[in-house]
Amino acid sequence: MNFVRYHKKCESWIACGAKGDKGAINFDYGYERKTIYQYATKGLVKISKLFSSKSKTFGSGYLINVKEFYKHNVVYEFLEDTDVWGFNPLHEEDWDGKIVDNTFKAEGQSVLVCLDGNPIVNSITLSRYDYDELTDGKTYNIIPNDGVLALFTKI
Amino acid sequence: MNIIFRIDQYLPETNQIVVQICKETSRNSIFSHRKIAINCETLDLYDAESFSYSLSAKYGSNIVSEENRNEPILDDNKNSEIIKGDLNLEKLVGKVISGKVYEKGTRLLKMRKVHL
Repeated sequence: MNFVRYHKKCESWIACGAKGDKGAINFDYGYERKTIYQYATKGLVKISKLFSSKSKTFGSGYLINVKEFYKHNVVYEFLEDTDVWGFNPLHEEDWDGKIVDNTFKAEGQSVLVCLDGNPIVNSITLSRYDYDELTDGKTYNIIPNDGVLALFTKI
Repeated sequence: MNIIFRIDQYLPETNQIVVQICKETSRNSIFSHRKIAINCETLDLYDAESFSYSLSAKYGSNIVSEENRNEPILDDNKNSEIIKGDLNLEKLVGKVISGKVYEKGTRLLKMRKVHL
């Protein structure tokens, strides 16, 4: 069974990903587990704290808060062929994440990430894993166009 | 990648060894590498091969990584560029470009920054 990790350091945060075949099992060591939000673009995945009953199972279409697993040893089980994406703070700071599908004004330090489809933001058509570090106070006009956009704001 | 190690002391009263470890291709002598104390309880002492294997497996990777990080960069290799954005191979011809080696199984996630 295949399992591949992905990683990309962006300006103020780090993107990660994992792609696994159905049945694949893998884990994150606590010292490297910095993911606070995850989104499955495909499939179904179960994540659990090692030796704990705490687990979450999520499928495509939902941005999941996984802060409770931050810096814990975590086990993944891919219940289907799955692609999962994650948002990691660069340092110890906390961020709030949510799916957005309406026009909004950026507040503070924030990042907009296209997680699926081809949404249109300020007349620019995005593709999966396009992102921008937003400008505080600027308005972002969104046409969802069946795409998925996640907004992350530093708390 | 092979490593070599030299046991400088064996301390039976504390069950420790003091060793010098480096990569076989090190530019510096094994004798010039720093000495580290290792608790033998963390090693496999079943036989000599097990001992060598466990010491290499447990400490070799970190030692080699540390040595690679601390090695001086040749002048010709300095000032490499980190490239981002759209790819234009013609403009990259002749440039020295910086890359990063990830641990096995980790690949670059293709995130693209756009200006909204």
